[in-house]
Amino acid sequence: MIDDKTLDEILFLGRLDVSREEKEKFKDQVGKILDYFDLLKQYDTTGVDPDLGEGLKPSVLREDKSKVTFNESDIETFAVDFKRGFFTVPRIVEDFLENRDEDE
Amino acid sequence: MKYDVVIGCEVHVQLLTETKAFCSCRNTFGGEPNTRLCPVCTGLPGALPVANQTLVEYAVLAGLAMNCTIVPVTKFDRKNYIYPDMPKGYQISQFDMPICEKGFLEIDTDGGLKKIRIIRIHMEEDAGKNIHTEDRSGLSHVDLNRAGTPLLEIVSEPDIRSPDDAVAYVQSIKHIMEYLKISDCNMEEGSLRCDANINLWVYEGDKKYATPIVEIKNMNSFKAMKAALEYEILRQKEEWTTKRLLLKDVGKVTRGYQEKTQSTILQRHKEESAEYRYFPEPDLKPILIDPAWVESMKSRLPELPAQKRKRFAEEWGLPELDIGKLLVDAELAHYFEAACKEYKGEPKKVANWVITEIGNMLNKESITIIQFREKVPPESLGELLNRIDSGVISGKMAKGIFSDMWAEGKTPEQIINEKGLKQIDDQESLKDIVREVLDQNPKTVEDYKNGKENVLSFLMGQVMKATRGKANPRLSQDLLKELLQK
Ligand SMILES: [Zn+2]
Repeated sequence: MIDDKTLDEILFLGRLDVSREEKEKFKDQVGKILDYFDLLKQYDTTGVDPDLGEGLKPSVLREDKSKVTFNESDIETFAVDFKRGFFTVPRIVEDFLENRDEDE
Repeated sequence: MKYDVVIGCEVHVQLLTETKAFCSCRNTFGGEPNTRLCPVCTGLPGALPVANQTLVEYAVLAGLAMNCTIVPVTKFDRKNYIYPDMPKGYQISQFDMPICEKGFLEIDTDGGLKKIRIIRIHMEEDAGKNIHTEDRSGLSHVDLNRAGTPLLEIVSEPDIRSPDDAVAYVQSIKHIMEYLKISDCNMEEGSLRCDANINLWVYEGDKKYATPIVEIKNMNSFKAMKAALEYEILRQKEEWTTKRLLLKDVGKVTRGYQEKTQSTILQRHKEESAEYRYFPEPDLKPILIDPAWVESMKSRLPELPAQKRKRFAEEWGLPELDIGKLLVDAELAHYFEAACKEYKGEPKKVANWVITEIGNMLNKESITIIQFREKVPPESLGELLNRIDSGVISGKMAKGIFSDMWAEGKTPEQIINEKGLKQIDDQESLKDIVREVLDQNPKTVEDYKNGKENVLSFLMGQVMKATRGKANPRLSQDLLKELLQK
């Protein structure tokens, strides 16, 4: 089981807003997941490098040679809003503009 | 108030690879927006990244040049954040297994050489650019050309003790990158970016207090960096006096530097690493780095500033100050050495010319040494100086010829011949000129004979005027003295 504080932190990191009711449900579910990790932790993994899976081949790197990439019409097929060479998104306000008045 | 300034730097450099970090799009600066994109760097579902081998090579070269340990196994991690300049929703970076660890740099300061330890160097990708419109559309524009550009992040220990030393440290990184030819480190274009963490250690009696750490962002030039850090020291002193805030209570905050006011202003609270939810990048396997390969990379290291500094002192016998000025640019140092091969006299004289005359010329014309040497190769400078020593031209004439060499792209010999600039060092013709000068200035001659020996320089000036500066100075002086005795 996990406590409310931990759950709140997880919800904050996931940028999730949930109702009180859902919170209880998630607390139970997340608790079960964590319990399962406790079970996994009981296995002895000494000598097993966590980053190296079984049968790892040397990592494949790519030769530094450029290839022709998207043209404008390619981008238009997937972009939600692409105008005059730019992707357009709802306006982003830089942090420092937003917080200008907070200082001193 | 007794205190120490404590600064650590996080430096990002863009690498001069042909392609981006994890896809085959071209990696260059500027150009039409969104013209270097593919499924990987636009974050389309299913597109898989593959690491660029040159990125790994450059990271190893940088690590070796900064005295780091190159790890045998390194991996990439995802740093999650939501912002339109990073369409995947995460940046591929390195969290707990950076490619290079535990290095150091020696920086040249007023107080001599100082050692700054480097915690780590890791590989990551750059984000795109958001262009904020001021119009009423309520929209922002995004250019993803820069998204996926390979970066190295170099993190120092908080070993830096003054704004000047911080600038020297970042300049030293810039020099190394330029010597390695792996980044052009242009702060204005953003290919070198630096964030600094700064706080004060205040001493009261036998107690030491640490003020809250401030991370300063948005320093776009060395000048801005110095101004931002100097402002922040004053601000933190003031804050300590009035509020006595402590690091352990407040932690770390982020402030942005503003060019207009030359001050820093508070930004959002600094995200802790937990908020980025780092986890191993599942689409990229760990990279195994063969120690034998690392050894072979050592042979690819050019002579670095620190080694060059030592050699220039031993081989050319130059003073520290001159060496510092020559090493600012690897190409300038190279030009100096090439000119020394041609010149038969003292290397110090070549250094003076390279630092002063060429330095001024580069400033005045806003050109690089590479552009300069296309018109004035180092051999030409050596030849010019040889001609001063052999008495063909005077030092003063040489400066005029030097300007013409740049303006016309000709050798010293061509200019001397074309303009009839040969120094007059033929005894007989010079004697006639000196005699004429003495005849025209009987009063001065009288003064000299009455013991006013300082009029000699006036007479020298007259000889130079009569010959338009071409008289051999030493010979003229001898002849003047000789004829005045009579
Ligand atoms: Zn791409």
